[in-house]
Amino acid sequence: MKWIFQIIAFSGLVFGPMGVSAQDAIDRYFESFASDPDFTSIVISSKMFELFTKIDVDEPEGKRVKDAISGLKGIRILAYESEEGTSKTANFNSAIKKIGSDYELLMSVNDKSDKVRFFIREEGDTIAELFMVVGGDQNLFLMSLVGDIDLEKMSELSKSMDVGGMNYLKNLDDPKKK
Amino acid sequence: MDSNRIKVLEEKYWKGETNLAEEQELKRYVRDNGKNVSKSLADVFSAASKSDEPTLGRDFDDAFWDAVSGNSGGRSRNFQAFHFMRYAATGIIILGLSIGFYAVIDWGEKPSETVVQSTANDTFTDPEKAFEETKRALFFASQKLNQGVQPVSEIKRFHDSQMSITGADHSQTDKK
Repeated sequence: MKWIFQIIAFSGLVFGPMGVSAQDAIDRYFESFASDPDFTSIVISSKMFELFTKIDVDEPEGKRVKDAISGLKGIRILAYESEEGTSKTANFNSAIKKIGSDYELLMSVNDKSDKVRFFIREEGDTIAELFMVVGGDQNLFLMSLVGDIDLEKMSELSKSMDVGGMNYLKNLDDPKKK
Repeated sequence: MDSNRIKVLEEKYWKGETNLAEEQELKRYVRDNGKNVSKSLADVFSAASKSDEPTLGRDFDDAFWDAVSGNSGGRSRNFQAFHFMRYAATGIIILGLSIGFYAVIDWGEKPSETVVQSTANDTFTDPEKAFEETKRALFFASQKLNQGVQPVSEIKRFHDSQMSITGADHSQTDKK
């Protein structure tokens, strides 16, 4: 009888943590921040990416985007921008510390307003996830792109178009605009 | 006892022809007297008689010394401690194994795409709006990516042009 209890205890100890371990980098942030009303979260699933193939796009940039996202399976975004005069700030450094050891720093850019870090997670020879962290004094932006990622195609996207820097974050800041 | 009879009995014993009574007689003689028999026979009977002696087990010793010292509870406490150690050892082994399994599984874990495989958590229900958002997010990421790549490509361009000038100088020198 006691062996039954031992086996149950063993199973609990072994398989219990497995459910918790199935997390990628942004899961940890979602756990921490998704319930915070000051954060804007965006999830675009692989099913939605499948539906993108049915969308007709005429303009060349739309075609380039479709080409660039052909290997993607999901996007998740968390964004925060504090209003002027509020003391609450999301901490860029603590966000960086949450990233697991299976992520490798790809690129680090510091400009006058923001710090940008690109992390990648590789599976074999391909990039399986691109994780981007952008942080300034008043904002924090986290984006996870999952799937087969072609950095060259992604880099080409913005060369023909100016998206106005952090305007993207300003638009994200108000969830009512969605 | 007649020494001749003993010799006859010994010969019969080695041939395996003695009956039980004769064998007992021989044994008694060897035990009581021991003379006029070969050493090998004496050894055989001596070994046989030792193996026949009843021995007391360890349990008897423990029970005896417990009874003598009047310490009947000590053994019980030892017994409980032994069982506690057994369970503790089992617990430590289970804990160690589970940590090991967890480490191996976590190490080989492919961070899941399952989280983004269902539209249930999707922010957008309209694919066109979702596509527009994806486009804006990708342009933003692309722009930030190029911010980092641009200085590197300028260094590379400088390096390439320097190499081409140096190469041209060499070719001019070669012509001279």
